[in-house]
Amino acid sequence: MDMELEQMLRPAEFDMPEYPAKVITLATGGQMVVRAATRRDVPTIMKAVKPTIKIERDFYDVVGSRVYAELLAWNKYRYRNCYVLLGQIDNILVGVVNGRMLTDKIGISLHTLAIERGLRIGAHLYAAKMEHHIEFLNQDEVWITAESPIGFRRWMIEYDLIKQQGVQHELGGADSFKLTRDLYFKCKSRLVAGSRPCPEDLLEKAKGEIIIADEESIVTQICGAKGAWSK
Amino acid sequence: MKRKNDKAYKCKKCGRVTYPERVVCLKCGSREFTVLPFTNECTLLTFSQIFQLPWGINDRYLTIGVCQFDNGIKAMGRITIPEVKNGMRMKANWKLFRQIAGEDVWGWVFEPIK
Amino acid sequence: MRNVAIIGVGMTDFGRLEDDTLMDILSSASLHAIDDAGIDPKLIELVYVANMGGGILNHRTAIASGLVDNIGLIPAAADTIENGPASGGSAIKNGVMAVASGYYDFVLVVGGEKMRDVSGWRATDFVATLTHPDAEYIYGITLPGMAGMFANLYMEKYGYTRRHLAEVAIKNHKNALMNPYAHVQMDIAMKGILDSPDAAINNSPLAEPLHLFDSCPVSDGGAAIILCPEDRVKEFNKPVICVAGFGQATDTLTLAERDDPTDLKAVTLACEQAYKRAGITSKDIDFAELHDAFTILEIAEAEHAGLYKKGGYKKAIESGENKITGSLPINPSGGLKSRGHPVGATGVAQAVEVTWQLRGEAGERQVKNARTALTVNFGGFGNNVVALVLRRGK
Repeated sequence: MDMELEQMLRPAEFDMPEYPAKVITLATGGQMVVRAATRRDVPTIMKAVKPTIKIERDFYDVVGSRVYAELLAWNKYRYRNCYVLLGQIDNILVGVVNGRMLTDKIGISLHTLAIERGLRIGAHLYAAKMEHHIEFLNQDEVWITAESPIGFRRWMIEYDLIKQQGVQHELGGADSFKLTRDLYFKCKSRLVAGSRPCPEDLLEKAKGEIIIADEESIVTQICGAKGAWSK
Repeated sequence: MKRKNDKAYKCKKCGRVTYPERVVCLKCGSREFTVLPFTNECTLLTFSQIFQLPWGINDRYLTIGVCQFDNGIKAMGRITIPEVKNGMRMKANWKLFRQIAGEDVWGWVFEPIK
Repeated sequence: MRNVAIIGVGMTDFGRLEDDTLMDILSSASLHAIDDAGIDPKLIELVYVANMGGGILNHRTAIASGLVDNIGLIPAAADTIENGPASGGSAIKNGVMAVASGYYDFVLVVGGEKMRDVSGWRATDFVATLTHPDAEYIYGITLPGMAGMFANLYMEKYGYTRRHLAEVAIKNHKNALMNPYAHVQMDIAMKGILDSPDAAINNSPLAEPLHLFDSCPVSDGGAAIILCPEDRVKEFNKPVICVAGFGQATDTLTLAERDDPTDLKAVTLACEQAYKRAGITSKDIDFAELHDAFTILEIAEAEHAGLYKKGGYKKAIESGENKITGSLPINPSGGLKSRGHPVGATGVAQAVEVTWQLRGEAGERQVKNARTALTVNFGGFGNNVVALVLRRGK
């Protein structure tokens, strides 16, 4: 690689504080570690994202393929000021969220991809993303758009987001909404779960190994295996 | 659309209060009623702060309850604030409070009496 | 009047049946029941289809006519029966009367619903159309909202807490783990839904005092049974499972108009009728499938059915006697809470579960030594209720 040319293509990035890991107790009583991913984690994460690209249900295909591309671009220094957060239960990757800093004060929420469903994994990880923008990146607002009806209902209504007339989110799509610091702190107690510090042993294990379910299991987990004629 | 929720009735024969309108008294079977005016105040019997609302309502939650008017009529309505308790005295306001498919909808909006 | 028996039962998975139409669901459940009975379909003379939302959710009406066409039962008589979430119970009641009267010998009763064709908030709106259009629906009331208002009063009056409700949810989730047809197959823990700081977020409010895990899911699914005169069961090499009694009662449409909104009079009346027709009392019930669309309803129905005195179900929750291994198991299938609640199918699914249990075919969730069972199918918000007593043997 021509590193001189490569240096010109790599964007300058903000100095972004790392998201401090936390642990969330789920409805099952199990624990989910939420932590920042590193670029080293990306090839493994992509293995879990890839099977979602062909799932039409709930717009997983749109979200999955965009997350896949964003991960790739981040890993190869073509997408600036990004972060990726992971949810892991017993080291198994159950969800991925990402976002980036548009300016030092404005954050962009990119995507929320729940690989395991039914445990509010997506809701918890989305909340962690908002927490990161407001509390750790110290931003004033986060811009959000929804690509699926579930996302629209959950994010726009539960967070009471402000519609931004005429402001285009960088993902394109429908009108964008924003979460302000005020709104975040108003809804934090009912939406942001988890405790810190994440126990050292749990965190080390999660960092040490990201377990990815096989492709069929991921598709089954997201789509279900149920049907009128299955029995 | 004519909505039959703006009047309460009293059975001419047995005095049973009916709201909303029905054509036969549930107690005595009479078909004759007189209109019973609503009182200005009522008492909250039960309520719920309701989330995950139906299509057409984009609020995060609504507080909806059942009140008993001072003359015995009982009716459901929206409540202006979530911080209420069973037994609370309420002012009963007949209001235009939403539209359904472009149509104005009037109904009861209860407000705690301070 | 003739005694009426169930000779065949069948179900589809309950859950989100993405690739199946309402007609697929009804057809599959029906054929499962026909195959289970081993009956020549030509013998089926009457079909009752229980469905609440075909017209609204699936843009399909005259569903019974479509079903007999699809599964080759023409020229059998066919009717669709709609009684809200108690459509299934009503269809069974009508089937039982048709056989008991002597007019028909073999009747297929099938219930089904395809609710996940629409978004969650469209489905919420659809179910809310069973409330009074001018005095309830307009306010944005939901069925969870009705249950929340009911729970507000019931819990206060009889001393129930959120922990009691959570115990019901945990039990029914555990039961559903043993039911391969169940929609929700997830073990939940008190720590995760009540006893940790994160529980408040996992188990967020739905309609106070009810929370997310107090509610059933929105499901697709179907269930079917075949009825015949008891004296013809011997032709099918099946144990005799009789519909020993049924009852149905109504109450005011609006919750506000009931003298005591905590009194589910229609449940009590329907159960009393069913016990009387079966020649038993509530003490003879070995287990029950109740309509726990919300955890509070399992509690209130157990008490209004006379299985416990008012406030007395606490004892069952605290002692565990309502578990599959207890002295009076309630909802061994997982109930609506976890098996799922495709509204038109639910009443029939209750009868299917009870039949499996009485035959000894319920696998891991088998209730031991069960001979007599109760089902309660709760229509509207308790304003149209159907109860059945099923019994093994005559």
